[in-house]
Amino acid sequence: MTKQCEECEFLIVSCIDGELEEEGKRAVFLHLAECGSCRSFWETVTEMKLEAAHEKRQPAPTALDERVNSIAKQNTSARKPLSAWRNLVQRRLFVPAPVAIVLALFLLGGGAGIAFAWIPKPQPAKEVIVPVVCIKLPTVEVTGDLAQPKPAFR
Amino acid sequence: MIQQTPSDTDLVRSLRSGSRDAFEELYLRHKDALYDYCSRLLRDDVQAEDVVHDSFLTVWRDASTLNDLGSFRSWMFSVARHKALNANRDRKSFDELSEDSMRDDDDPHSIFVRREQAALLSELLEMIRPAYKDLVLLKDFENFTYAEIAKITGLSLPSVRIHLFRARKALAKAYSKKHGEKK
Repeated sequence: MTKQCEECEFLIVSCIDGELEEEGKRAVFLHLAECGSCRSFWETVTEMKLEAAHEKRQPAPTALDERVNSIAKQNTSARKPLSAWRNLVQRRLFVPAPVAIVLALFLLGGGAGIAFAWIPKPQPAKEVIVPVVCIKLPTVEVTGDLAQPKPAFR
Repeated sequence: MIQQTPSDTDLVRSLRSGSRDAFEELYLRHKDALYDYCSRLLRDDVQAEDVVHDSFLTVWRDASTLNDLGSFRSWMFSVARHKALNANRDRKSFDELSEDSMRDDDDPHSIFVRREQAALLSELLEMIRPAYKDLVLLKDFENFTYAEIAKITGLSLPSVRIHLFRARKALAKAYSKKHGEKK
């Protein structure tokens, strides 16, 4: 038996069990076309699987019916009660998706509104009055020699 | 008007609310499969009956602990398997059914010769390691997927794949020998 055959046998089992992807199936069928030993393995496994499927089930005895039926009658109080939260989650209150979305948006919007109301609004900047002092300077007239300066050197 | 049969998920939901009818319906649906699985696993009808009873007691009491309602069947088999393994441990060395103690010295042919008169596939299953037999029962008799088997047995998905492959190899070997001797 080649290594290829060993690998193929592994894939054959997965293939017969319906647990192999298309690519694997193609590889198996290509190999089966040229390998009698693997074809024989395929046939044997398939045959056994069919026999298992057709093998008669052993039915449960009637005595078991009575025993199990008494469980619900006798053990009503022994059941583990669901906690309030688990009860809510596990019983899966079916809320249609659109209703759930609207409800979620409403809650979000409400939350945002409340948050907005609580945030202090920014106060407008106060006007600052800066006093301006105007000083009127007296006018000075310049007369005489001061109007034309003398040259420093002659 | 056609009345739709409630699914297992619907029934489990009702069971959580304490519905006895739902419990009885679930029992009627699964009792034969569960009993067949347990009796093949344990090879003891009386013990199988006890295990199935205890399993349904657990179903009644602990249905609320089941997180995924859609996986009720896997969960129920997981409960039964666990109880069957414990029962077997009490009865005899339970090493046979645990993965750690798989025997490598099983000779399918010699065992076959001793049980020549016995039924075909059931007896072939006795020729392979108990842990492999368990997986073949879940796959070929109960039609669980590899993923569900992994959930039930606690094995990883690759382990399930490999063990089922080895189981099939061992079975095919025994099967071929049996047919060879018949001819």
